[in-house]
Amino acid sequence: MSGAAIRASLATGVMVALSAVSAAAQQPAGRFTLSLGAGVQAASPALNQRFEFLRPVDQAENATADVRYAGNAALLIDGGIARRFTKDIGVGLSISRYQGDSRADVTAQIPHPFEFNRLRDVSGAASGLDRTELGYHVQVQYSRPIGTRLRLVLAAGPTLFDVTRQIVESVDVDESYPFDTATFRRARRSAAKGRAVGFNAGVDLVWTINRSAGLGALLRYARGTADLDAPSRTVTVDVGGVQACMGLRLYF
Amino acid sequence: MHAPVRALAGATAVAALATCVISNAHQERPRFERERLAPSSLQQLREADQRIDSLERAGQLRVRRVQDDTLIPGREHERFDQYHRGVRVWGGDVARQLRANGQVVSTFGTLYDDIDLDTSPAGEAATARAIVARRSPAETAVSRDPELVVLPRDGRGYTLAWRLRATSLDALDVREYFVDAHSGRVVLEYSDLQTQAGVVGRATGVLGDAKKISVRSGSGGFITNDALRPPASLITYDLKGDTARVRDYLLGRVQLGAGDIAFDWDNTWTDGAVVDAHVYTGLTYDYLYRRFNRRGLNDANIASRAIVHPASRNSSAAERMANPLFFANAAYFGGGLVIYGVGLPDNVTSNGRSWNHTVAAIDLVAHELTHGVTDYSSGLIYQNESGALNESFSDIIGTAVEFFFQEPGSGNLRADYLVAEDAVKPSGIRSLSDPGQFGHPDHYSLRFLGTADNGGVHTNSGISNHAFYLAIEGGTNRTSGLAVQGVGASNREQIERVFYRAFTQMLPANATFSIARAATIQAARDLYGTNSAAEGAVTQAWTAVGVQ
Repeated sequence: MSGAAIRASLATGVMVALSAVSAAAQQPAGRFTLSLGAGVQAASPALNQRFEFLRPVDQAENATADVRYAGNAALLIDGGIARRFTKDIGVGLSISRYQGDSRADVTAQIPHPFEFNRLRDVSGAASGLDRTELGYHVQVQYSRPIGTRLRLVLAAGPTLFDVTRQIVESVDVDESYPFDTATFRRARRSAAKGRAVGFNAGVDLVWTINRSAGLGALLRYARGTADLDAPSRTVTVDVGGVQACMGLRLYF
Repeated sequence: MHAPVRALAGATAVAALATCVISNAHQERPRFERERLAPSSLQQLREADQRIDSLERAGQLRVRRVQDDTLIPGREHERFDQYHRGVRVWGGDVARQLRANGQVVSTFGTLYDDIDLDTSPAGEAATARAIVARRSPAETAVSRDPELVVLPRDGRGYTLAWRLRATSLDALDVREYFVDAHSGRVVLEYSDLQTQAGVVGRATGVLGDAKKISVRSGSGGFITNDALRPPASLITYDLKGDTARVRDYLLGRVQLGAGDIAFDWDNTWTDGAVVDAHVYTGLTYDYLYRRFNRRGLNDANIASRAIVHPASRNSSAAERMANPLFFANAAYFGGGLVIYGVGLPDNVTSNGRSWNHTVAAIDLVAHELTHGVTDYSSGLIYQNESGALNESFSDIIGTAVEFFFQEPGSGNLRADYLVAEDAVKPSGIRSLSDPGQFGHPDHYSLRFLGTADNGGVHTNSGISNHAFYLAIEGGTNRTSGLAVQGVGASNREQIERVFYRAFTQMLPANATFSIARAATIQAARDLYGTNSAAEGAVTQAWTAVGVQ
């Protein structure tokens, strides 16, 4: 499912839910809600990066790389706790963990070791680039019953992202005298880490099993921009995205 | 005794050789003259080949070396030395080009007939060494193993002689001696030090251009030992002005060690002499490989060593006089070793010219290294016409390297037909386009006939230098007034390949200008075909400079 489709579904769901509110809904047993779920974080937009790097063999002239990271959808695990202060209003903290890997297409211009401004083009790919995003979502929640079994929870607030992502640091090539050509051998990668403050907004539609438990379908959009520190440079990336997951809701 | 000289210059077109069958067992043996003008006919080639085979069977020709052709796959080049009763005839050698099926394509050489000489020496080699040592300055190293040779005496018969090589640092010279093996008399000697012609100029400092340098990381820093190019070692030594140590090294008293290799802590090199020597040596290697598929000076990746700062530029005038090679000169000492002069102090000129570090000129560096190529290929004897050809080939390759790596133009770091113009101001020391600019001949009729400078090796080189220039650029020779249709600057590699092929694989050690003409024309046919533009340009160029 694309991000746009998910966002459209989310809006539609909210509208439908709000129009179907019923005063006869079943109330949760207590003020606290514990939620656990799993789902998917939608593919994020592809990331293009251009950077220079110094090869160990050539300390006189920078090489240049263009890397296009694909934004793959991947598993999302989400859990949280919330407390109602009034009948409809509460606060909550959710933690989501996104973990996946992606592929990057790499092209590079490798300088000739003996002469300036004599570049050799190479291209290849890097796969299995690990990417982990922890999202700490602080939320103000508004909940209302919809009919007898459904309950709608609207939530929004800031999100703290903690991101670890493998990025392409440099390119290794195979070359030999007279170095007229070079061929791509591999992309060297490193872990880049950083944090960012963003926001989140979402809706949780809960099918109430009884006063102590329910099944929820969460649709959330969380977004931030993080500066990730890699050994050789800082990388600015968009983090988060559309998150969809289903799970258990426990009330106590 | 009389020593009739036979200069072999037999060659023919490949196609003709493959299709024609000529047999005339009764024809007179081919008569090749030293000053032969044109390539031989197919028949002469066949007969010359038969003669070579016959001489080889008789033990009068022995294969010295067989090398694969680096430019035309499948071909190979044989070099024979002439022997008389087991003793090598000095300057008697033959270069034969073969196709893959064994057919002969060309033959060039010099053979000596009618040798009637007892090859039993009356004196010992040690005696000859002592004779040479007595004639030499105090600090002279003399060959430990003199070679017994038959020495042709240019119309005065032959002499059985001990050949010795003496390196004299007091005289800063490397001399070849030939000592009569019977009388103990020195019958021939000449300098074999292959240098730039010495002019004194004013130094303005090393050029400040940015370049890459291929070095090796070591303990705590970097050293100028090229680790990226194939030679086992391509090293630049920085002797830091320690002239005494340089002299001791040349005399074999000390060895250069790791501590003599130029060093830098952070791989940012600021010593221009070190940088230019090291980089230009590498680029010359690159040129030989890229253009000719040649792997270093001996085509087998011999080590190449450069020495910079053999003296301090601000040494006294007396010091400069005592060691002129270490200042306004550069010299190839054999075995891949080149020493580059430091130039002259700012207030000193020579013939109105100032001298920077000699390594500032890429053509000069390539020039010196090309002496090594010659040493390991044709072995052109460093006197008279063969010596001029030796010098000329170094100028030609030096210029070719310059055009390979620099943009054409005038001024510093621009490719032109001047020699060493980036180090010697103004205008360098020689010109391929206008040898007369330096008083050098641009025509065979103007050649220097004296004995100075080994028979004018740095002067008469202008003749073949100018032929090379005309074959590329075209134009009119001033002396003859003959016009040449060159192949054009965009096709310069054709003429470079032609001259390289001829000078490394075809010329005999004792070659003349005439043989060089024949060999280059043959090389043009080999590479680009009969009646090709290259053949036409080369032929016209030699004719224009008066070489037939």
